[in-house]
Amino acid sequence: MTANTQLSVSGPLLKVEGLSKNFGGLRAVNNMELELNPGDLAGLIGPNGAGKTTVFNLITGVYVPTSGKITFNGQEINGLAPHVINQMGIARTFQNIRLFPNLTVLENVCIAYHSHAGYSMQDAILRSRKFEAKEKELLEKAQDFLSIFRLEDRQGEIARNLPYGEQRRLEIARALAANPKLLCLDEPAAGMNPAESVALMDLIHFIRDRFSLTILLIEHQMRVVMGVCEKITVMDFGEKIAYGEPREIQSNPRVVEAYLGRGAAELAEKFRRSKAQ
Amino acid sequence: MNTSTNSTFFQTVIQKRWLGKAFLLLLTALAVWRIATALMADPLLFLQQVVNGLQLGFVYALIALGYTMVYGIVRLINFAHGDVFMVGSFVSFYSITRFQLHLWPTSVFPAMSENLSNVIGVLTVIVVAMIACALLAIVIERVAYKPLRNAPRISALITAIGVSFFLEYFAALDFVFSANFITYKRPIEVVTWAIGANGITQLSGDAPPEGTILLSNIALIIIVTSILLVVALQFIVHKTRIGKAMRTVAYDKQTARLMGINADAVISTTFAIGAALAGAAGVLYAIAFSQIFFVMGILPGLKAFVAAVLGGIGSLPGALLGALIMGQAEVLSAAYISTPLRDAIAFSILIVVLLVRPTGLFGEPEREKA
Amino acid sequence: MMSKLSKPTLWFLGSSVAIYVVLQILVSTGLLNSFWDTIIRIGAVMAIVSIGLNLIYGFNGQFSLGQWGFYAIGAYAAADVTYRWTVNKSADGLVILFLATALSGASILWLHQRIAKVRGIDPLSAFTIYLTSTIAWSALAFWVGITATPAVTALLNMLPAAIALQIVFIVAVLFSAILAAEISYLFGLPILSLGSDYFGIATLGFTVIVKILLDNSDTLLGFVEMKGARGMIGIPKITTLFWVFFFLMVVIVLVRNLLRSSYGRAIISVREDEIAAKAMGIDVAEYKIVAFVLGSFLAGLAGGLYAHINGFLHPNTFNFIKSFDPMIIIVFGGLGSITGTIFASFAWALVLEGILRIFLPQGFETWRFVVYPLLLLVIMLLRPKGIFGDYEIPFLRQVLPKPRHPEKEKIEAEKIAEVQP
Repeated sequence: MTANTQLSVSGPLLKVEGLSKNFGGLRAVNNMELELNPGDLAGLIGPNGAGKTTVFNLITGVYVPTSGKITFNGQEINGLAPHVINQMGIARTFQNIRLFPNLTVLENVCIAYHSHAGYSMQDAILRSRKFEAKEKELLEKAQDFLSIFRLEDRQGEIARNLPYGEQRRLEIARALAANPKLLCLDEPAAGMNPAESVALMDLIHFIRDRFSLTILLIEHQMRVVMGVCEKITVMDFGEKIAYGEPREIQSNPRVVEAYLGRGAAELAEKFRRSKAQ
Repeated sequence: MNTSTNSTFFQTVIQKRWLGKAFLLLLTALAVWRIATALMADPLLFLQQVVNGLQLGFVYALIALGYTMVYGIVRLINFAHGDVFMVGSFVSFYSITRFQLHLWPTSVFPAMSENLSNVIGVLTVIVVAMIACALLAIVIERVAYKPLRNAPRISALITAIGVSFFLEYFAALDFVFSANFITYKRPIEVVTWAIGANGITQLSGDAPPEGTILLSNIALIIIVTSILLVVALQFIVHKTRIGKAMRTVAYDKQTARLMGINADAVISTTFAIGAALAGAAGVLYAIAFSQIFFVMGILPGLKAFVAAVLGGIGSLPGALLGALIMGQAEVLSAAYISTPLRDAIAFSILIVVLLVRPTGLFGEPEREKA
Repeated sequence: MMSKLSKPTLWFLGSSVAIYVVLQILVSTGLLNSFWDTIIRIGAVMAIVSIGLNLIYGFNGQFSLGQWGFYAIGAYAAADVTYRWTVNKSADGLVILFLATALSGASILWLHQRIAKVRGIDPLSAFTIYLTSTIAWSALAFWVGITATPAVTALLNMLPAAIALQIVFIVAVLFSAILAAEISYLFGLPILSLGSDYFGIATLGFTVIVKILLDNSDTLLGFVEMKGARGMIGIPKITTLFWVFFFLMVVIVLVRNLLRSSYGRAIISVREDEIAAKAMGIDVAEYKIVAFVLGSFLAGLAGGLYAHINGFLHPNTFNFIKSFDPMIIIVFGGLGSITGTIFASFAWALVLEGILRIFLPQGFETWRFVVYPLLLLVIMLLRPKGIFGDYEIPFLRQVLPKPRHPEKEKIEAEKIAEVQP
């Protein structure tokens, strides 16, 4: 897969400023700030209900922000339709895997190529020479892509029949087939055992390097977060409560409090101080 | 895009969705203008139509409530519901002609006043029809719908269509109800009052006096019975345990089961109650229009369904309000726009409502979590 | 067009032509009487309608009950044009239909380009723009058409009558299909954004409204020859076995070509998971419209053909109850299967209209309506996925390319390079 296209401006790839989202009376996201530079491998963590997936949905256009600004690659993207945002270079995976369940593995990936299929509907209906050539090219590209993820032998399998781990891999492959600049992974390690999580971590490093990507990751499994992410943003109650490198975050009392409650935070603080002595 | 004043105006028009709103506003303005001119031209006639519309609306409400309850609890559009309404009419027809059911108080309690025995007789007929329809609905639910509860929704829908056809054409068989229009024998005499500035006079076959609105005992029976049934339903749904169970299962079937609620029984009960209301509606409709036939349930069923959607499908007060609006719209359009087009207008109302407020008047938007 | 024909394609084309030839011989020699001839043609017409509905619902996932409304529009529009040609001896219907649909269609396409670029325009406003434009162009077409009619009539009269009739027929059928497509576009634009259930309800309303309008076609709409609820007669019976087979074949091939391409995959992805499709760059709203308009075009086409089979039309054929027929056919045949749809359409025509009508004794005709739903119930309970489920004959199937292992081959090549200095 060729390296992704040039970035239009220097500076952060993704900039989220003052982002808020209300659902009726509930403020799910409150004044969220986030910045990603090209090539970052960043994490977004926080207890359940903190608003992490909502932030993803806001970035990818599934929800329209109540207020705030999201800038991607120099362009304001809040309010754009999800498919437009995808075509601009943001891809994502979902908390509950959303493959196209009744389509084959190959077809799942082919859909990512649709916006650059290279032929029109008339070409397809009339089976023009352009169609035959471009479709062959598309299918070959998809197959080659599958082989990067060692899924080429499964190309004819119906997606819902794949084992869970392969489904995850396929979902990530599918997202990458669209040649994005930013990949948002929503709990990719959900439901995986420790061995599978390690394989996932390797995969994430591999794709970041191979595709020159920027990756933003939501994850609950701390092993994966700490082992993969270079910078971590922590959310609670819809707000950013901490930002920094994994080690700083681990010992941040506000973070512990968010996950475990104040009593535990105090306990952890006590424990840390006693250890330091 | 340049920053001239033209383009920002254009942008505002787009953002504020003015074009679409202007279109809907135009339609509404036309409708309001028509109603206003009609009202001013002949207010009494207009009021008469309003009364007629109320009568029709309540009948639709009884059917709509059944639709909305069933949809709320199993997400099924029960196309056979209109035919249950038809069965109610026919059952009452047989009670009256074959068994003289409406006359039992007169024969058992000869000393009772005529009005009271009439009322009890009619109520008996209605109740019998309600019970018959409730039983029918339970059978249908168990045989046709329950096995498909976990099948794709289209299968249940097609089955509902199949049940609807089956009921209609079974009723059309000669030895059942036959395919003819049957004149319905009313269980009571029609009495019409003329209400005017000079007081209320009972009509006796002559032309109604000028400047009055006509109100018949039929209309009164329909309106009063419907209101009573709706109040009874509200009571059941909000003040009894079974009602609470119904609301719980509608909200989340799995969890309701886990909390010990017998979801199957609750679902059957919901079907039964909905059908009972439809059966009552069938009797009232037959009394009002005095003619029954095997496909009489199709159009009222459809309109009641539209009413349920209009009010927000799954919402009981919505179904009632939606039905009243539909009844009113139908009568008013028949009188003032065009009688043959009245049904087309009713369905156009549906489409306009869906455009403005797709979830209906009282509905809640259902959002899928990404 | 096709660089080389593959084996499944040859099989399909060959066997279809063979079936047609056999049937045509049987009919022409009288071995199959006209009753069965009609049944077969109706089966083919139903197949076209049902394929259209399968495209909308089976492949795109939008539950539409409006197919029958577009079928009716196609039928009456085409019938009116040919009626006016054969009975009134005037090409006015032809000219006006042609001009109105062509001009409106062009304006819709042009507007579509412009409007797509405008960010954030809501469906209802877009609808208003399209509606106003269509009304304006149609009015113009009417005015121009009236003026141009005598010239066109004279022109067509210069040809031999039979050929002129065929030309009028084909133009009428095609352009009433385009008319149905345009109406579906206008209607679908605001309605498709509502989500599946409400879309189904709105399309149901559409079908009912169309039927009511047809009942009043002579009084309220001014088409005296349509005779409203009494039914339209005098339509030339020119839908031959050849024409239905021709159109059916073309429809099958073109729909198959669409579905087995990236556009087909986009359409299907909408059914599979809208949110995932959007996240992958598929403009879901656009593809819902595409499927809906194409499916409605097919319904209109089928309607136009249908009108010329028996030579008469009655609004009751297009009532709400009968509107479930194509839905039942596609579910019965299998939602994701064109093969199933074709099979179920002919089965429906042969069994329901044909066999049952003959073998059930008189007076018990209503029994078939009791048998029919019972059958439906049994099928739904026993085989909810339909008879054919997902199955397709090889020609219609998605072809998987041969597996490629470029990574493996690269690694193998590297290994070989290591071993051989």
